[in-house]
Amino acid sequence: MSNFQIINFADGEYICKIGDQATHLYFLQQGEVELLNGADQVFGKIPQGQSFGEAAILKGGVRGASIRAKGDVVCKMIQNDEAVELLSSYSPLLVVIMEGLLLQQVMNNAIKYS
Amino acid sequence: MTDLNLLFAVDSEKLSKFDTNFLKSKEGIDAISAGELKGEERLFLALLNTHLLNTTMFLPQKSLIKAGEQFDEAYFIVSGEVQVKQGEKHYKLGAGSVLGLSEGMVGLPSRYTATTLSSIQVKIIPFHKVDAIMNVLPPEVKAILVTIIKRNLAA
Repeated sequence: MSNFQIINFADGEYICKIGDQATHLYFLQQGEVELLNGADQVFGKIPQGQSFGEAAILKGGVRGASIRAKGDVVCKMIQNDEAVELLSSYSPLLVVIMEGLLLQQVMNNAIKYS
Repeated sequence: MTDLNLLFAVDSEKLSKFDTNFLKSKEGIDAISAGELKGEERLFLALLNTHLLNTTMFLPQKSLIKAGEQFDEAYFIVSGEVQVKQGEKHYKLGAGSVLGLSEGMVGLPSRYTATTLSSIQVKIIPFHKVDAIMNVLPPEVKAILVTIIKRNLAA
């Protein structure tokens, strides 16, 4: 797990902004973060113990939402390529499983918003 | 049944023409960076070209997953269509759809019934292999997968 870097964010600090290149995956070790749309309106929250940024990483491309610290936040952060390497180090099939879960998420969103 | 709405499908005919190493090629990396390849298309190509999953064919009217029942494997649709019945909601899913992965990874019964409408080609994700991997993952890595599973189950 040495690939993970611990990083702190102060209340109100942006961890990433919509349109940014997706370069990192985050594991939320402590605190809570808010999801914001292009109009800077909060539309969701991610609680402690969950991850974020993983979809953009495996798909490549840019962030689809901004993420802002709500209170003081501690994250474990890992670069895209290192994340894929880390998953592969446990099993190449783990990357396939992750891709399958992400594709199921895209499919579910299409069904939900149809 | 053909008038059911097709709620999700990628253009498998178009994507199948790409070279198997397209995603790792300069052309593929440039296409992803430029946003020319949608996320679902990139994921479809990755799963299409993996050698880690077995591929099989099913004839029309084959029941893949039944509502309320547990199952041993998830399905990634390479080509063809399935009909899905979830309560009062009936619709079709096409190539690129992933059936049962999140539910099966946490041992939940299916919330829907999926039946093939045409001859379909699928890749099979067996849960006994998934479980073997999940059991050895450290908490942070497992949390990444569990986060996506929770989002899928909440959808």
